[in-house]
Amino acid sequence: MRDAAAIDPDLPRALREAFDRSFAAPRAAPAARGVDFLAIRAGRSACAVRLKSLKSVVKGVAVSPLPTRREALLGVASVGGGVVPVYALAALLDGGPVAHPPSFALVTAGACPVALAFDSLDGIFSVAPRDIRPSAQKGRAPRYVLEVAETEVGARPVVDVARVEQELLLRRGPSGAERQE
Amino acid sequence: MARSWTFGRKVACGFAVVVALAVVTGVVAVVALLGVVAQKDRVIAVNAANLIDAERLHGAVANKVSGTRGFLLSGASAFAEEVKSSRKEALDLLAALSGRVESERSRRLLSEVARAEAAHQAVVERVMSERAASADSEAALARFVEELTPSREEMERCLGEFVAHEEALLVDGRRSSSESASTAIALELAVTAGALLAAVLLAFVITRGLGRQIGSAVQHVQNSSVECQAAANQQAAGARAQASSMTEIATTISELLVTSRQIADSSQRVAHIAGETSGAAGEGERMMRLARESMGSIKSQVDLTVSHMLELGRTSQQIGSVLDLITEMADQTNILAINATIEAAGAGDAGSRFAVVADEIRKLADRVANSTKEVRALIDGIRSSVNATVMATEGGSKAADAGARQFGEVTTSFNRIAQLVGTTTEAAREIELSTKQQASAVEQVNVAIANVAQATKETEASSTQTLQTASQLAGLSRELARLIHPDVVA
Repeated sequence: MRDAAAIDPDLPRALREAFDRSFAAPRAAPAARGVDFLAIRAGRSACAVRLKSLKSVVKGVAVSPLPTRREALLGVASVGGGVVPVYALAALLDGGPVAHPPSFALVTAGACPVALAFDSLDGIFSVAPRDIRPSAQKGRAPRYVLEVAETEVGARPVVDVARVEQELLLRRGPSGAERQE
Repeated sequence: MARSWTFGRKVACGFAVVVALAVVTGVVAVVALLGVVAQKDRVIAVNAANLIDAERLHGAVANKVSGTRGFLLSGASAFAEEVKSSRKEALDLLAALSGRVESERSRRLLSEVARAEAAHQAVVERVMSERAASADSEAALARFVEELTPSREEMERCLGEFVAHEEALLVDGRRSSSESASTAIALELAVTAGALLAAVLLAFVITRGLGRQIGSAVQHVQNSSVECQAAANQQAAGARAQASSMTEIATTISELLVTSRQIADSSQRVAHIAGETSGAAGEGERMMRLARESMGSIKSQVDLTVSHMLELGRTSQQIGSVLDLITEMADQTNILAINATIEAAGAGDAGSRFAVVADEIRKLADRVANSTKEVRALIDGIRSSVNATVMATEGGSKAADAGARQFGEVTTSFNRIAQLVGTTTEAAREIELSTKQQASAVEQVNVAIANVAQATKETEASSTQTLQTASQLAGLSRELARLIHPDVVA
């Protein structure tokens, strides 16, 4: 519990100044921008996905469950006027069951978009291309993690969403019907 | 029955028996003496008189013979008269003897004497008549010798036999009298010996009986005196112990009296203090009533504070709800900014400027979200503080309720205490009065104990006197027992 007596009395003023300063500060030049990533958390994993591989991010998506034995498939949801299958990204990465329904979902930007549900959204960060390196733990890392983005706070695995979409497409077939493994 | 006789009766009976034996002995002696005397009298009166009369008869005969001779020689009449008077004396003696003799032989001998005397008298009268007729004295003498001498000798012979017989009777009577006297003496001795033996036996029996009874009684008296001595000893010891105890009791009673007076003083002080306590309890009750009213006011204020704090909590909750909405809007704005960034990234260089705007929007949304988090934290802090304050205030309200109830209970207890203090005051006063009465009673008891102690000392002295008396009685009983059984009592 935070004690009311411990509230900094200058906090409103500091917030006001920061708010005003954000509008007063010069905008960053577009050329200076690197590769943009969306920092997310899926299960126990903190990872990132390239923004270019995404179509959109939704919160509080309503998932209609489907009768299936595949644990990663949560169901289908209506996103952006279309029905997409919703998969649990944590289940795809770690292979374990989904403890609770994820709050967020990202929609892939492929030809057959799918929604990958994740637990929390940490934000967007941008790194220089040189800070993107291949994953050094091949064979041990999930098969969808091929790169690692080095940030100021540490390395974050990059999930290859296109590959996830491609394998899910291969798994369910062109008709969209899910194949039983 | 003889066992129940008294010593006096037994001794009197013994004396009576002894006297009776003495009387019997005396009677026997008197009777024997009378018999002996009678026999002696008979011997003297009969045999001795006969013998004397016989001798007198012999003298009368001799006188007659001598008178006859004188007459024959002289022819004087005096001699004749002498012969006649002698003859008359002889006849009188014969008559007396005839009337006195008792035995047949004496009568026969006496009749022979009378016949010889008559024969002699006949010769005398014939000779004297012849002498009176003749003057020849010689012839008369010759005739005297010839005729009178044989008759005289015959008469003397008969008289001699009679005298001898009478002498024999006298001897027999004397011997018989002596034998009777001896018999009487022997009887008297026998009776005396029997009486003496009976007296000795009676004395032995009485002495033994009395000795036994007196010895038993003395033994009982001795035992009783010993027991009395022991009892007197015990009584004296008990009296001394009682005197000692009485002294201790008197000391204790004195201490008790002092203690009772101290208790009375303490009770008086307790009563005074209880009275003051009663006043203080009343004051305390009033203060408690005021405090209870203050507690009621505090409770009302606390309830009002709780109500305001609950209202503040509800307002904070509403702020939190609004803040949730703002947070949701910030999240959605963030999502929109992200999607805008995605769209700008998908647009390539054409979307670079839009990407910048979207980034600004996203940062703004982040700042809003961060500010919202800060505000939420503040609101949460306020709500926590409000909740804590509400909890504390409710606790205070409950404490105030409990305090009010406890004040009520305390007030009730004070009332009860005031009542009890009043009761205690009354009890203390009663205790004070009772203690004073107790002190008075203890004083009376002390006086009574002193009297009892004095009586105990007197009892001790009396017990000592009794002990001395019992000792003297024991000594006397031993002396008496020694007098009765000298060989038994050491």
